[in-house]
This record gives sequence, structure tokens and C-alpha cells, in this order.
Amino acid sequence: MLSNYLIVGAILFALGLIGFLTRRNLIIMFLCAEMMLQGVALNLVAFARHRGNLQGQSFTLFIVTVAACEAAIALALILVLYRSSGSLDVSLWQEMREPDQDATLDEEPLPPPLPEEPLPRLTPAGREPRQPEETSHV
Amino acid sequence: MFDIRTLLVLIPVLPLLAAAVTGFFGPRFLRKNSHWPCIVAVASSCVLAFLVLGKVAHAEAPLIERYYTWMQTGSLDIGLTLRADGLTALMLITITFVGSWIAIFAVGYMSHEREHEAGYARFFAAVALFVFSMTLLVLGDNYLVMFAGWEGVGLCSYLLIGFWFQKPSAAAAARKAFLVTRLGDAGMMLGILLLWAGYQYAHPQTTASGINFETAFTWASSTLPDDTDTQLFFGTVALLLLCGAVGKSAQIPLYVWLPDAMEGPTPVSALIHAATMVTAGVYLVARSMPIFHAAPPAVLLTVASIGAATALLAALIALTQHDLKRVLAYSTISQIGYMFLALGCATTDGLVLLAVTAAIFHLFTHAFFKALLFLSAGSVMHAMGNVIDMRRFSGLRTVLPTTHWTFLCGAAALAGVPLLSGFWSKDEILGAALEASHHAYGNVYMVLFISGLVTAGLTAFYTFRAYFLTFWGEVKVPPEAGHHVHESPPVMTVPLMVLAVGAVGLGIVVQPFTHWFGHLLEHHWLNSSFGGTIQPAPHGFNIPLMAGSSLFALGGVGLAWLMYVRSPALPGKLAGTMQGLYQLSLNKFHVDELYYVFFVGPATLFAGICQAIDFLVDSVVDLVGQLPGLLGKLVRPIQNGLVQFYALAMILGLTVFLSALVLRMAK
Amino acid sequence: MLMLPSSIMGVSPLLWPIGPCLLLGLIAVILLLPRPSALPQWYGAAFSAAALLLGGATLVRVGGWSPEGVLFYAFSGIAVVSGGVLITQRNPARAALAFALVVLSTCGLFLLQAASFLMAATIITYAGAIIVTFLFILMLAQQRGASDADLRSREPFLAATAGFVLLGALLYVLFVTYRNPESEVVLAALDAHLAPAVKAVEKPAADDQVVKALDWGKFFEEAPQVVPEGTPEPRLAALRQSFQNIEGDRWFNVQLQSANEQAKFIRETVAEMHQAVHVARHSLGDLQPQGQRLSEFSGTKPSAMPKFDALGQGPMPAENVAHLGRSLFTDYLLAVEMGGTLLLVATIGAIAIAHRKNS
Repeated sequence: MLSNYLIVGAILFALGLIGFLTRRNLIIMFLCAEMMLQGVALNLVAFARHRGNLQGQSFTLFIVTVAACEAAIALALILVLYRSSGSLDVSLWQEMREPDQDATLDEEPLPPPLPEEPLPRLTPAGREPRQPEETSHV
Repeated sequence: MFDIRTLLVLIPVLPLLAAAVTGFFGPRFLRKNSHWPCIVAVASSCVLAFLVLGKVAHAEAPLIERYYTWMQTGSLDIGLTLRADGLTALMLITITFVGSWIAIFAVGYMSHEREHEAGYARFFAAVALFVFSMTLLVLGDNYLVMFAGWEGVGLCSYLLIGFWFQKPSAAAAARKAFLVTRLGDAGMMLGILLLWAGYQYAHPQTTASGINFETAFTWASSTLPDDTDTQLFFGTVALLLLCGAVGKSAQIPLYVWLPDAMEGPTPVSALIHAATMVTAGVYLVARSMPIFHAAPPAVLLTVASIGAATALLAALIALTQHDLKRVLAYSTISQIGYMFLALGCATTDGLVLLAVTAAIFHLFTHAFFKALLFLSAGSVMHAMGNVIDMRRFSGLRTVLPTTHWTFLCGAAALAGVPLLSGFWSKDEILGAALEASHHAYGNVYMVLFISGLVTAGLTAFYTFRAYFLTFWGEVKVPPEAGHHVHESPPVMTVPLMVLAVGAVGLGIVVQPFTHWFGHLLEHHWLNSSFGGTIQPAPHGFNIPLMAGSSLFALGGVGLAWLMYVRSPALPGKLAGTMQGLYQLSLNKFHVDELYYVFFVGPATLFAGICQAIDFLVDSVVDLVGQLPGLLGKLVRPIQNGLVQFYALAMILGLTVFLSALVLRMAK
Repeated sequence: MLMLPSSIMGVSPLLWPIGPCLLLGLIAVILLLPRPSALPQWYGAAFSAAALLLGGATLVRVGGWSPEGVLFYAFSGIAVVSGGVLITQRNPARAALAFALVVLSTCGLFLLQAASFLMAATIITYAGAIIVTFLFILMLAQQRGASDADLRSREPFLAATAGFVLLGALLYVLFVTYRNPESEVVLAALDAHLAPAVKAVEKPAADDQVVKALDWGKFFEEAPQVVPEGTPEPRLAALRQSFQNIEGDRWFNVQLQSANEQAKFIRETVAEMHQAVHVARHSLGDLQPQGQRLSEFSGTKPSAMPKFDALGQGPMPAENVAHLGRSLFTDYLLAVEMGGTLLLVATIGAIAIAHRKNS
């Protein structure tokens, strides 16, 4: 059924859009954009099947091509951005605002990090080697 | 060697190329050799101009070549068309020949400027551009091309007067020259447009354009004697054109810019403000002679009166000036007045050729001797360390022997000493005026003739006053000249000598006995301009007139000798007894001050009122302009620089849009 | 698959079934998006599970259990779930892996749609190249897992609302076009009208029996009346028009001929009508480009109606790669060349950008 695939494509597109708008990691943003492309590609393939015509599949192939180019360029750009700021946070790049605007900063504090779980240790086995007297009670 | 099409276009294009090359590459690459493109181009144009003269002399009709359609809309069809006939050929030779020698002279004169190369290149680029514009002016076959050249020479004049723009007086003089000539140009533009519109009105079916020379002149010369409406129309056009001519040629009432223009380098004064550009007005009137001739005779009388009055007034002012260049400047104004006087004498069919020949002949000879005088004055200035006040030096004939002799040649020619070139041309003018006094407005022309005769005497007097003050008496050299005052280098003296030969001998060769000038104009200008409708009257020597004018000239020279060599105390006494007249002449009849009170003052007042209104309007506009700013302040925080925020805004907009569509669909 | 109460369905698909599913999904996404002071994750998980179940039951229509249906549910379910994980996961590396899952399940859907070459190409490009390179960058840049920025979202409420409103608009258009209740009622009525005729024709019977089995005149006359006049759906309007032609012109002439001729006509016409209803059912909302000069290199001409099978799909060649190649190198030759050039330029650009310049 054509409409089922169109619905799935629409959902993938919308999810990708939300992710692109909200997530602040450059790489996740990029992945979300790719997911939007996947939704569109799914639509095209479904149309092709419905009409018994390969044009939709050809278009999808071009989408894949362009996505590959985009990925290459985006990776290079992300790398450059990372080199100059040391982070993948897209919100660091906000110098193009109006000159008298204050920078948008995160005000809500992050919760304190959870205490790290202790690394598992091997239970001691065998005979304990003799220790010097001073440290033996540790 | 060249066909005429190439020849004609090369004459203006070579100097244009030289100007471009010098302008773009001069300061960076050519540096101290910036004069070469200009000299080579102008000299080549001179050679080509002689070739053109040869072709014109053998041609039956004027040579007209259309190169390019400038604009074409409806019945308006203006081509970039060049035309060569007798008048053009003579003008071309004057411009390029005198221009070449002046350019060579400038190499020596501007040698101080060679130190900072940008100025040196700028000078020669502007000179080349000037030659381009001037040749375009005389070559153009319609009023629009001519006007383009006309404005071009005005621009070059502005650039060169203000060459030393660091000097406030030079900058002011350049501005004054530009604005005053602009006044006249506005009238001329109106005249051209009126001519075009009038032709359209009179010939509704035509596709020809009234601003083409052929069309306009054919129409003008076919005007019937009893067609007063058309005559009045041509009278209006002629007066408007005369405005332009008066402005450019420094005639009353617009002559005030020319004396100030002497702030420019002396070669510029020689080339632009003596020999060529200021005579553009004479050329314009001569070229438009069919229109002036078709107008009521009062128009030509106006031309003649303006000319005679200017000639007399300028000569009177020149009597008492102390500045050598200023004397020459007023002399230029006076001589151009002579040419206008001659042009104004073309009141009857028979007189047209006589008048125009006289005017152009005087233009031709004047170009030589006035350029020579200016260059000699420049040579004096060069030697005196840029001092030009005649009270501060004297007796230079032993110090600057070559300059002394060449100046003497020029002065004698200007004064109209018999057998020199100025004598012949001035004589033709006086002859034309005398002829005109037998026809319409005869009494007025008689007065004009007498004033011309008096002016001739005054001319001889002030010229030789300047000569005696500068070169005779005890040797006196200003301290600015330094210790070793010496004659100018050959690069300056050779042009002086060439021009001196021209000033002395050219007049007698080309006109009075051979009639080359008259024949050239008769065969290659008169018939083509007037469509063969008029016949020139026969003309011979008027021996009594010659004797009379010689008497006035020699009398003036003698009086100058008496006052400044024989008894040098006499001028002081004379000035003392005629204090009022002396002061009047010294202060140039207070014309500048009058202009200031009656024109500049009201204009300033008017400008002040306009400024106040402008301030009001500006305030309102600014207030309106503040509104977007305020609005912008409100929505400014949206521009926070976050990419995702921008994307969100886009998506929100898209969402609203799509939702609206969908909701409409759901209904 | 829930049976839809027709009273609710009649109002608007935005109220049922799209609205509730999207509302649940919106709440789930808002709850799950990373925030410094977030509710525990299982709230969001519960909402998303509810949204998925409801959506799977109401939005998707498979039409009986079949291998295709099961596979479709599986692949699309994984795709949507991992899409949600991708946008809500705080650890970027895990998000990248979720994206790999999205790609893999989408490729499964491609395969279901007879796009085997695309499946392979997408897996190789995305899962094979892009994901790996991104993971590589992640390892290089962010070795400690989630960073501070990963624990926050920008405008989660607004962005999620915008996204879901957009999705709602899309789904609404899809529903109005493909699941329009009015069209479905009309199609069901047509089926009911045609059923006895089909039954009569299919039975191997003598010609005169066929002729007598029904009051054919009434049947043909009533057939156009089943479709209400002035229906906005162009396919149904065309159907009505064609039925009217049968009734008006052809049946009138045939009536006077022999029983053999009549039976032959009845068989042909009923089969034709049956096929027409079938085509109309599956081509609702299709746009049909006009013109004769469209290429056939890519399969059925876009201007021609394909032969729909029972699932409403056009015929697809088995040799996917061969036919795709023919399509690419005939219809899209220029675009292929441009695509190749684009790849080259992008390669050069990427190298030029990422090259570490000596300062």
C-alpha cells in the first residue's frame, strides 16, 4: 500500500526535523538531516513501486549521491569547526548575531554527575604475598 | 596611405589613446617619460590633419563618415559622425600644430613637476585628452557630437586650471571657469534641443534629425525672406547657441573666468586659454553661420556688438595690468572679441564669406602669435622663478635673448605691425566691418568699426607696454630667480622659434595675396553649408583702411616707446592726473565686484533659503527614517546568531503556512 | 486494525486517528529530549510506546496478515523507534548507531518495494561509509561520551510542536487523498453493485442464462448513479462518466442483437467495469501528467495508467539493476554525469577544507 510508506516517510522526516532543530551536537544534527533525506527517499521508492516506474528509484540514487557529497563536505567543515573551538557544540558559533546582542548562554545548571560506579575488581585469589609491615593493614 | 574613414577617426583617437595610456600607466610605469605618448599622438594627429587638408582640398563635397549609431529612437537618429570640410581642416591644423609645439615646450616648462611623477603624467594625460575633445568638437557632424567635445574641453580646462589644486586660488579659478562656462552651456543645450524640436515640428513626416548639420543648414538656407516665423525661430536658436559661444569664448558678459584661468600652467594658458579652446565659440558661430544668417539681422548685430564691446573693454583693462600673463589674457579676450565682430558682419549674402574668412583667419594667426606670446611669457616665468609681476623685473633682453626676440615677434604680430600676420587678419576684420556699414544697421556698424580701430591702437600700446616693461630699461631680476639667470633650454626655445616664424610669416603666405584661406572656405565650406544659394562678393585690398590701421598700430607702439622707454616717469604722472580712469582700468572696471553683488549675492541668499527648506524636509524625512530603526530595535533580539534558532523560525513559518492551507482544505 | 467508528471518522481525520497518535508522540518526544532537569525516562518511553501502538493500529493499513505486512510492520517499527532514539539519545555514539538502524530498516523497506539495488547502495553508502566516518570523528572529538551540550536541547517544546504540526499537516493530506471516507463509501457501494454481475458473469453458463441472470438494463442504468454527482475526487468522476457512456450508447444498440452478442458484450463490459473500479481504487490522488513524448525507458510511461495488482502496485521488472541502469543511462544521462562531477568537486572541496594548514 502506497500510503503506508508515505506515512512512514513523513514520520521519519518529522523526527529528523525535530532532532535537527533541538539537538546541539553538530554530528547528531547532521545525522538528523540524513534521516530527513531517508524519509524522502522512502517516499520516492514507494511512488516508483506504485506506478511501476523506475524514475523514483533513479531520483533516490541521486539523493544518495548528493548525500554522500554533503557528508564529505559536512565532515570537513565539522572537523575545521572542532579544531578551532575544541567542541562539537553548535551553540558556540553565534558571533553573527546583532552587534549589541548578548550571547545566548545556558542558564539552567546541569545536575551533578552521577557518582562513577567503581570499576569491577578481581577478587583476590591465592596466597597473599607478604607485605611490608607499615602498609599491611590497608 | 589611409582612406579618409580611417584618417578622420584616427585624429581624435590617437590623443585619446595617449590620454588613456598616460593616465593609467603614467604614474606607475612611464614616470618621467610620461610626455612621450602625448607628444607622439598629437604630432601624428598633426600629420594626419595635413593629410585631411589635402583630401579636403581635392574633394567636391564635405567628407562625412558615420562610424556608429549613438542613439536611435523614433525619429531621433544620432550617429557618431565625423565631418571634414574647409573649416574643420583649418581648425584641425591650428589645434594639432600649435598643440604639438606647446606639448614639446611643456616638457621643459614642467620640468619641476617631473620630480613627483603623478602630477607630470596627469598634466600630459589631460593635455592629450584636451586635444581629443577639441578635435572631436571640430570634427563632429551634428550638434550632439560637437557638444560632447565641447563639454570635454570644458572638463580638461577645469582639470588643467586646477592643476596645482593645492593652491586655493587655482582651485577657485578652476571652479569659476567651469561654472561660468556652464552657464553658457545650458543655453547652448537648450538651443540644440530647440533646433531638434523645431525641425520635428516643421517637418512632421521626416526621419531626419534637426541636429544634424546638413539637415539644419539646408532648412536654414532654404528659409524664404518673408517667412518671419521661421526667421524668429532661427533667431532664438542662434541666440541660445550664442550663449554657449559667449561662455566658452569669454565674451561679455561671461568673460570673467578667463583672467583667473591664468592660475594654470603657462603651456595650458597658451594652448587652451589662448590658441584653441576659447576660440571654440568662434568656431561654433562660424559653423552655425547658416542659422545666424537665416535669423533676423539684429542677431548678427548682437554678435558684432558683443564682440566689439568685449574687444574695447578688455583692451582698456589690459592697459594697466601689472601681471604679464593677465595682460595677455585680457588681450586674448579682446582678440576673440575681434573675431566675434567679424562674424557679426555677415549681414548680407555677399558678406558671409568675407566675414567668416576674416574671423577664421584671425583665429588662425592669433593662435600662433598668442601661443607664442604666452610661451615666451612662460619662458620668462621659468627664468624668473615663477615671478610674473612686471614691476619686479625689467631689462631682460640681454639676459634672455632668444625669448626677447620671439616675444618681440609675437608682440609685433599682435600689435598689427604692417606685413606681419596680425596685421593682415585684423585688416580683414576691419574691412568686413566697414563693408557691413553699407548695409542694414549701417550706422551701428560704423560705430563698431571705429571702436575696432581704436581697439587696434590700444592693442598695440598695451602689447608694447608689456614688452618694454619686461625687456627694456635697466636689468632687474627678482630674488626668486636665483643667482644664475639663464636662457631656457632648447626644448623650450625651439618651439618658440617655430611659432615666431609662423607668427611673422604665415599671415602673408596664406591669405592676402594667395587667398588660400578664402578659396578653401569658399569651395569647401560655403557651398556645402548654404546649399549654393549665395555668391561671395568680390573683395580687394582697401589701401586707405590698411594705412589707417597701420597708423593706429604704429601710433600705439610709438606711444608705448615714448612712455616706457623714453621718459619712464610719464606713466606715473599720467596715472596721477587721471586717477579715476586709471583705478577703473586697474580694477577691471569692477566687473567682478558687480557680478558678486548682483549675481553671487542673491544666489547665495537663495541657496541659504533652499538650505533652510532642505533642512526642514530633511528633518521630516529623517523622522520617517527613524521609524524602521525603532521597529528594528523591537525585533532585533531575533537575530541572536544561533543557527538552530533561525532554522526553527523557518520551520515555524512553514508550519503556519501549511496549517493554513490544510485548514482551508478541510473546510 | 481497529474498526473506525464512522461517526468519528466522518468529522476529520485530524480528530481521529491522526490527532491522538500525534499528541502522544509529541508528549513522548518532549519528555525524552535531553534536558538538565528531565523526568525519568520511562515516562517518555511509556508515551512513545502508546503512540507507536496506537499509530501502528490506526494509521497503517495492511489488509490482512501477510508476509509483506509483517515485514512492513517490523521494518517501519524499527525505523521509527530508532529514529526516536537518534533524536533523544544523549550519547552521540549511540545516536549514530541508532541512525545505522534507521538506515538498515529503511533499506528493508526499500527491498519490500522492489528496490534491491538501492538497498545495497544505501547500506554501503550510509551504514558503510557515512556512519563509520562520523563515528571516527566522534571518537576523535568527543572521547568522553555525552558532553554538556548533549545534555541540553534548544527550544524542545517549540521545535517538537512545529515538527508534529508539520507531520499532522502531511498526514492529513495523505488521509484526505488516499483514505477519504467518502471515496471509500462510494467504492464499497460500487463493489456491492458490481458483485452480483461479476458473480453472474464468472459462472460458466450458457449465453442466454447470462443474459437472463440480471436485469442488465437496470444494472447498467444504475451503475453511474452509485457515484454521487459532483464528487470532488477526479477518479470517481471519470468512473461515473465512463459508466454513463456504457449505459447511454452501447447497451442501447446491443439490446436488439442476438443473445450471443449480448452475452459477449455483457462479459466484456462487466470485466471492464470491474477493472475500472479496481484501477480507480488504487489510483486515488494520483497525478497524471499529460503528453505523448514521455520516455518509456524507466518503465510504465508516467502518462499511462499501470496495471495494478491486488495490492495496488504497478508491475516492476525483476532485473532491478539492469532496468535501473537503463533508466539512468538514457533518461538521466546528463544528471549522472553531473552527479559524478559533483562527487569529484565535493572530494576536492572536502580535502581542501579539512587540510591542516601550517600556521
